[in-house]
Amino acid sequence: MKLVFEFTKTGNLVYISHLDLARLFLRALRMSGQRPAYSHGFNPHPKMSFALPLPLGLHSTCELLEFETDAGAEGLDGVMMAVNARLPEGMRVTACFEKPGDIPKSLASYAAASAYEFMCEGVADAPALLASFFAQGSVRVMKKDKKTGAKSEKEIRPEMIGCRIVKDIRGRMLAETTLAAAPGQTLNPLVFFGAFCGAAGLDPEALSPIVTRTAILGADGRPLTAMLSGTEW
Amino acid sequence: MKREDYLKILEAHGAPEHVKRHCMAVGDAAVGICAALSEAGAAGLDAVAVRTAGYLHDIARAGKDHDTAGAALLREMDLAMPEETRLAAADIVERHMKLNFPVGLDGIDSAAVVSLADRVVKEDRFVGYEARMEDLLKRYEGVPEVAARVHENMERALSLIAQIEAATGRALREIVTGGRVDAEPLFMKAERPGRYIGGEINSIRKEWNGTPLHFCFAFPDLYEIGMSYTGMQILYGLLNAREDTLCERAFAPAEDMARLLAEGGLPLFSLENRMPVRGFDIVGFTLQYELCYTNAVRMLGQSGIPVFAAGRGDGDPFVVAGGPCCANAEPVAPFFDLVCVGDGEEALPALADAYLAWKQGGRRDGRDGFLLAASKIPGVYAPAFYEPVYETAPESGTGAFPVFSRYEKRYPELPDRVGRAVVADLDAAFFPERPLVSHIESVHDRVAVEIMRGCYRKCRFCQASYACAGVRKRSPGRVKELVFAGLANTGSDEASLLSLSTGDYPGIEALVSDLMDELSRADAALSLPSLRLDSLKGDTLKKIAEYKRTGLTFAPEAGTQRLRDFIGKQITEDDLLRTLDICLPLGFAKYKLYFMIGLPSETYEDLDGIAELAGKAVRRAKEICAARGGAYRFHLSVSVSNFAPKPGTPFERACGDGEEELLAKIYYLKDAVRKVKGVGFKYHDTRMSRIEMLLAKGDRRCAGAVLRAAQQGAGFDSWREHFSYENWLAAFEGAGLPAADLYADGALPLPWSLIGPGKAYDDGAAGGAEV
Repeated sequence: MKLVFEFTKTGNLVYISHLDLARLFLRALRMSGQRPAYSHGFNPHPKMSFALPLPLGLHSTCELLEFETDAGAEGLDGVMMAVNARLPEGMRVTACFEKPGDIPKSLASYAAASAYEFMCEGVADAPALLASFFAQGSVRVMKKDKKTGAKSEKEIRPEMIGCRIVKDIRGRMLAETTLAAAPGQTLNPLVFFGAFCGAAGLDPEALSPIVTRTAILGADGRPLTAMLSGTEW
Repeated sequence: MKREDYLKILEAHGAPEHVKRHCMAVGDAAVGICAALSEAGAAGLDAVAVRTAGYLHDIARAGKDHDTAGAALLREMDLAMPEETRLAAADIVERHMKLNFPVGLDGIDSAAVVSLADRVVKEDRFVGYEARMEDLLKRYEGVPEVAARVHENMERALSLIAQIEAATGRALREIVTGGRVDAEPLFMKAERPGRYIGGEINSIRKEWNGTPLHFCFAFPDLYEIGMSYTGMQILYGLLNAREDTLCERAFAPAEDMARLLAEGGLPLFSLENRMPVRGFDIVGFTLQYELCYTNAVRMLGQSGIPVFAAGRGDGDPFVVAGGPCCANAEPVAPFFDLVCVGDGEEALPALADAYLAWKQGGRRDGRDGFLLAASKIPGVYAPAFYEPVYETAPESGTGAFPVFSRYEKRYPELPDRVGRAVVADLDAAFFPERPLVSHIESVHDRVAVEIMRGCYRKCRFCQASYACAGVRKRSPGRVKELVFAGLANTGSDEASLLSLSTGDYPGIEALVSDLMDELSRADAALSLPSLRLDSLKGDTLKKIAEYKRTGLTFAPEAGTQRLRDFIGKQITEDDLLRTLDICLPLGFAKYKLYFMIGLPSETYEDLDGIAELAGKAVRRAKEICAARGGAYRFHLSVSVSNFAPKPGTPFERACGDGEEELLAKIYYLKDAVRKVKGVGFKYHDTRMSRIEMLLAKGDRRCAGAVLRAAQQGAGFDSWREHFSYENWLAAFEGAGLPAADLYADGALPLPWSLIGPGKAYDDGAAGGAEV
């Protein structure tokens, strides 16, 4: 059967990479007595996948991990608690779903966008700045190719889906943005913030926002977990 | 209630990430201020109310009027504390936004402590009051009468801070952060920041202030190297098992992090509490290989600890060396207050006891008082107490250059020879059941259980074998217990058995066979480094082959039987070919042969022998494959390292080949092996080996060269891309030392003669144990 964990990645653990996160989760699952199913190839690997990798340094309250487990339903009692007891500080499973059979593909293939909260202090007049940033028809950023190091320009405006100010008390800003997160069309929130700061004449390093992913959204704009509702353990 | 309990409450109330972090930071700050004030004699502070209010002060920040809303929540909450304390905490939360600071320190109360903590922490970091004043004044720019009142309150707060600093004799930053290094801003800029964050599965973070002895285990190489080192796992667990001791870890920061620390003016810090390494009582370096010496020196510099033991004073830690290189720690002795020879799990608890006794006794006789007490522990010596004397010995071939002649003891009661700490019984000795799990993939990502210490074989070049006092075994029952505890507590799916020569473990066949059966039921695998497969029977091999068909290694070390006999390596050509007979049909297709060149008495005939042996293996493999009618699947590679004579071994006076000689031999061998078709050839950097030898066999004056090399940028010398031979040669020259082996002559006294034999444990098993 396939299970889906919704979990947080916060605190110090924001500094471990996606691959190391996968290793950590596999360890925690095994420590809690779960036996994730393995593929049957020449190099067996655990059948587990994340809906959307989280860039290093970002917090999240809504990561999704699906994995196949050999354990039957009778073994699932307390699985969340058992895993939580093994996860280090900063990671916590907040919900556990059974993936319904009518969702044939991996959760990753349904992800289209992500919601991020930006919390930072020292931005005067944030609502107006953000509004004018979103009013631009085109936003271009310099992109460095990871392998070749070659720089190229990239248009990101189509990937900036929406933004609203949740709170703005005298320079302390909490903004929620929705950014594209589909295969081949993903906007890293730190790239977005850098572009915003560039346009607004702000120093992103001095502001050093705390960025938290708060939802992984499907093409319909609803959280992916909505597809799983009713199957929560 | 513990710190984590408050975090859970915040989580349960849906506090967003930034609020949680802020609350925890303010709570920590309030606890620090409260403790400092109480220590300085302030009365009337309620530590639990301060703690509770501090950690929960913004619990309702997501909504409106969060001060009153938060107080209301606390008044309803069920907390593990007296009701009046909880209500007091609620009152503090209610007042924390609008509190008027008292004029003098006498007027300070719990609420003022929490408010002050809140005012000096921005988000989750200490920024100081002045930095926050600007933010606050900006908020009330348009409302002059409020701004005036705020300003007045600020003046009182500033005066209060000055009074707190005067009364406690500590800067507010230090009180609030507890001296912690604020390294987090660097993590986003560092490569692989997982190396520096701590908090791994099974890591142990104890309360700094509540623990009498602070021990820092320093590993002079990268995190991912150090985390695979079983010795660290043992000592970390052993020391943390003591209630009076905390043991934290520090690794050599990678080049980029070293630069970031320097730029930020931050010292090297421990992973657990992020305390400066300099703030520990004892800093213990493990010296695993000579080429890490420069890293150790650099780490001392990065920590702000005076590099030479002689330069350290009352505020500095004691810096201790341990590990295999302590068979001759003299080349780095001036950097260390103490050197521990032998088994750390014997020496370190005794050292901890000695330290605590010295500290509780009012640090009698200053630093020397502790060093003298420590000198009574078997295997422990203070280099400063043994002054080497150098004299010229023209007939030794060293010319007019003075060489080591003897040590002069500073105190008559010191032993003439140091000896070695020895663990007598591995079953009774500590071994971790909860090994740390590296955050990032480390070199050996598996549960390693040591089954035997020492080696029966005593190959004459092998320092590890001679540095161990006899052979000690762990019983099969205990080994199994540790394997399964380790797997259960780490979630790992691979275990390995560790020893210098696993095949010599009495009863290895049964142990491996049992373990493989039990492990496969648990979806786990067994890996067997340094296991000679010819020591196993077909059934066990079949089991190994069923789930693991990775490469096999074989270490004849020399190409001819003559040389193998001379170096004491008990392997014959037949052993190798027989292994092929058994293992090739089982599906093992990849083989690696290890050899050493530059061995004493070696001739080019011995080099030819290496190529011949490879040729014979290839021919035999062809025969085996042809006889079975299957396809020819056989990969062989020959890997050659350079012999470097090591102190404490029968070859300690051998001088080893020079760099050019070694290089000539490598080229010769490369040609010879190339003629055998289908065999790969790998060799080791000859220049690295040369420096390794110089550092292994050096006397105390070598420290000058090590320091110079480190100052000129040497570090991570065992990483080829970092190693600079020219830099090392310049360092030796600069230190006024010949870059040559001074101790090859048979008649010269040896600098490492200070290290005497330990007690031998002869259990009468194969070959016996000699020391």
